[in-house]
Amino acid sequence: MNNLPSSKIYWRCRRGMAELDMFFQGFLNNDYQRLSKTERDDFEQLLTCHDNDLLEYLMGRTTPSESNLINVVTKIRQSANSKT
Amino acid sequence: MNIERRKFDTLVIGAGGGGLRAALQMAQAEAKVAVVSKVFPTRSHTVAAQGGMNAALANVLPDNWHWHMYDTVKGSDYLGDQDAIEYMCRAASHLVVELEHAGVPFSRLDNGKIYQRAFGGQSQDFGGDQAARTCAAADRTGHAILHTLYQQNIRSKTHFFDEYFSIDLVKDDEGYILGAVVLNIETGEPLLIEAKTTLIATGGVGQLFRTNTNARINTGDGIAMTLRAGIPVQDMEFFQFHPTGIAGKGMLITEGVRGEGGYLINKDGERFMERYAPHAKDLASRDVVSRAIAIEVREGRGCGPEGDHVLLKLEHLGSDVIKKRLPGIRDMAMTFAHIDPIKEPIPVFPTAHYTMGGIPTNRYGQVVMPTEQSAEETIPGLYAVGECACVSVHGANRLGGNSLLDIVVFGRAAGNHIIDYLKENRTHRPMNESSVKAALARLERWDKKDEGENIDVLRQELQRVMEDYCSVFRTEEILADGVKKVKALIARLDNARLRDHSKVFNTARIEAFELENLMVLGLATVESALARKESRGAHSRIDYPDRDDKHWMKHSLYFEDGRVEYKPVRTKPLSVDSFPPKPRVY
Ligand SMILES: Cc1cc2nc3c(=O)[nH]c(=O)nc-3n(C[C@H](O)[C@H](O)[C@H](O)COP(=O)(O)OP(=O)(O)OC[C@H]3O[C@@H](n4cnc5c(N)ncnc54)[C@H](O)[C@@H]3O)c2cc1C
Repeated sequence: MNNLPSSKIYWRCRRGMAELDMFFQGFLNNDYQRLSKTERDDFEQLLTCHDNDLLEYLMGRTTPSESNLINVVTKIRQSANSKT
Repeated sequence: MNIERRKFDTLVIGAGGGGLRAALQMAQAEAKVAVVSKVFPTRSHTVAAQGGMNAALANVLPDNWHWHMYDTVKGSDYLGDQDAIEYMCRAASHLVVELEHAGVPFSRLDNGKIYQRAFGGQSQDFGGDQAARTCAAADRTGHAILHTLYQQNIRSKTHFFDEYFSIDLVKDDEGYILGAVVLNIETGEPLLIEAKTTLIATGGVGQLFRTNTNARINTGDGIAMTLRAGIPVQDMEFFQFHPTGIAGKGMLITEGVRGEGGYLINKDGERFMERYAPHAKDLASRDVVSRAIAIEVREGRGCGPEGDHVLLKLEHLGSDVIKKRLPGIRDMAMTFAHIDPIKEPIPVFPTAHYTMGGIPTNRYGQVVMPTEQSAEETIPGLYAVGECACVSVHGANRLGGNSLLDIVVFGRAAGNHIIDYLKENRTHRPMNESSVKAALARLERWDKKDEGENIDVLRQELQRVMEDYCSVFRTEEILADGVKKVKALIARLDNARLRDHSKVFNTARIEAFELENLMVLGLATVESALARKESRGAHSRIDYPDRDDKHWMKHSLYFEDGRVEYKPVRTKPLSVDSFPPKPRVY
C-alpha cells in the first residue's frame, strides 16, 4: 500500500517558521510512511494547531492537551533527533 | 475567456502582518476586501517574529521618536528615505497602543507599563548609551499580532481566499493594475480577481539562500510579479544576514541573547567584537556583526574542525538566567545543534534573514517607478507593503524590531490611501483580456509532459549559487561569476518539467511557480550587487571596502531586461532636519 504523504498533507506542512519546516520535511521524507492509519489521522489533526503551539510541542516544552496527539508529536521529535 | 471571475473593491495579496493590517483598515471603512494567501493566514511568516517591535515609549529608559529616527537612518547606512523613516518612528507609539487595545498581550513591567528590551542598534540621545525600545508579547509577538489582526478582519467581514496562489498581476494598456490571476491550490482551477486596487504584501525572499532563517514559503512571489508587470525592483543587493544563525542549519538565535549578556568568541577565546565595535560590541548593528564573524572565519580564527563558524557564549549567564530568560534559545540549540548552552557555547554563522530591497513605494504604499514625466510616477491601482516593499525605511540594513513596526505602520497608511483612492475611483475599469491570457499562459507552460530538469534540484542549485557568489563578502569577480551561473540556471529552467500533472493539490506546480520567482529575483540580486561599487550596510564589497556617498548614495532600480538605473535617496525628513551621512561607528 502507498503510505506516502498526499500533496494536501505536504502543503499543510508548509508553515510560517523555518523550524517547523525543518521538523516536518524530515518527518515526511523519512518516517511518515511508517504511520498507521490512526496515526496519520492524528498527524492531520496536529496540522490544524497554531504554529506557535506546534513549535512548543515539537520542542518538548509542552504537550498537546488532546492525548491522541502526543504519540505523533513524540514520533516527529524522535525523527528530528535521529538525524544530525 | 473561460475563467471564473470575482469582483472586489480591493485585493490584498498576502495575509502576513502587512497585508492584514491594510485589509483591516479598509474593511473597517466598509470596502469590499479580498485577501489571498497561499497558506492559512495565521501560518504566514510574521508568526515567526519573536523578538518584538520598536517604539520609543520610554518605559524602561529615556527615549523619543527622534532618537529612534536617528538610529534607523544610521542603521540604514544613510540609504533609508528620511521622510518615510520619520513617519514610521513618529507613528510607532500610537501603533503599539492601538495593537494593545486590539488585544495584543504585550509583556508588562511591575508598574503596569509595557516592558521594553534592548536590541542592537538602539541608542539614547543620537548615538549615546544603549536604549531599550523593543516591545514584546513574551516570545510570541508576531504570533500575537497576526492572530489579533486575523480575528479583527474576520469580524470586519474581510473575504479570505485561503490556499490560493497568486500567479500574476493583470494590467491594462494605460498601466492601471486591475487585479490578479490566482490559482485555487486545492482544485487547481484559476480564478480572476478583479479589483480597483491591488496591494502586494507577500513578504521576503529568504529562500534565495541555502542557509536562511525563513520559512519555505518566503519565495518573493509578489516582488517577482511586480518585475514581470514591467516595474523595476529596488535595492535588491541589500540582503540582511543575521549574524547568529545556528551554523550549518540557519535557524535564528535572536539578538535578545546578546541583549541579555551573551557574546561572541573566536577559536582563541577572544571576544572579537571589541575590536570591530569598541562601543556597542556584540550589540552593534547586524551587518557589522555579520561581517566581523565572516572576517574572523576568513582569517583563520573560526572554530570547529573546519574553522567555519564562531561561538556564542552564554554559560557565564548561569543556568538560572538561561532557563528563565532564554528558555526558547536553549531548546533551539539543544534540538537543532544538539548542544546545551548552559554547558557549551552555540556554534553560529551569519544566515540570510531579511530582504531590504523590493517593490519601490512611497510612504503611502503606492508603487512608484521612473517615467519620462517624473522620477517617481505612481502605478495606478498598485500598492505594496511589508517585507516585499521598499519604502525605504531600512535602506542598506534593517534594525531588529523595525520590521514588525514597518508592516503595521505602512499597512495602515496604505489602507488609508486606498480608502481615498476608492472614493475617487468608484467603478472597475474594463478587463484587459490579453493580460489575463498572458497570466494563464504561465500556467499552461507547466502542462508539457516530456522529460526535463527537476524543480527541486534547480532550486537547491540556485540557493547554493546565491550563497557562494552573493552572500556576506562580495567582489567583482565572484559576483560576475554569480551572474553567469544564475543565468545558466535560468536557461535550464526552460527545460524543467513537472512529474505530477494532477490538478488537485498539485504542490509540485506551485513549487515550479515559486522557483520561477526565485530565479528572476536571484538574478536581480546578483546583478544589482555587481553594479554597486561600494560597501554600504549589508552590501559589502572586498574590492570597494568603503562607503562612497558621492557616487553611490542612491537607490538602485533593476528592470526585468537586466538594466540597472538609480534614483536619489530622499534625505529630507517631513519636519525635522536631515541627518547627513556620517561614518557609521558603533
Ligand atoms: C525568524 C525570524 C524572526 C523575526 N523576528 C522579528 C522581530 O522580532 N521583530 C521584527 O520587527 N521583525 C522580525 N522578523 C522580520 C519580520 O517577521 C518579517 O519581516 C515580517 O513579519 C514580514 O511580514 P509581511 O506581512 O511583510 O509578510 P509575511 O508575514 O511573510 O506574509 C506574507 C504573506 O504572503 C502570502 N503569499 C506569499 N506569496 C504568495 C502568493 N504567490 N500567493 C498568495 N499569497 C502569497 C503568504 O501566504 C503570507 O500570507 C523576523 C523574521 C524572521 C525570519
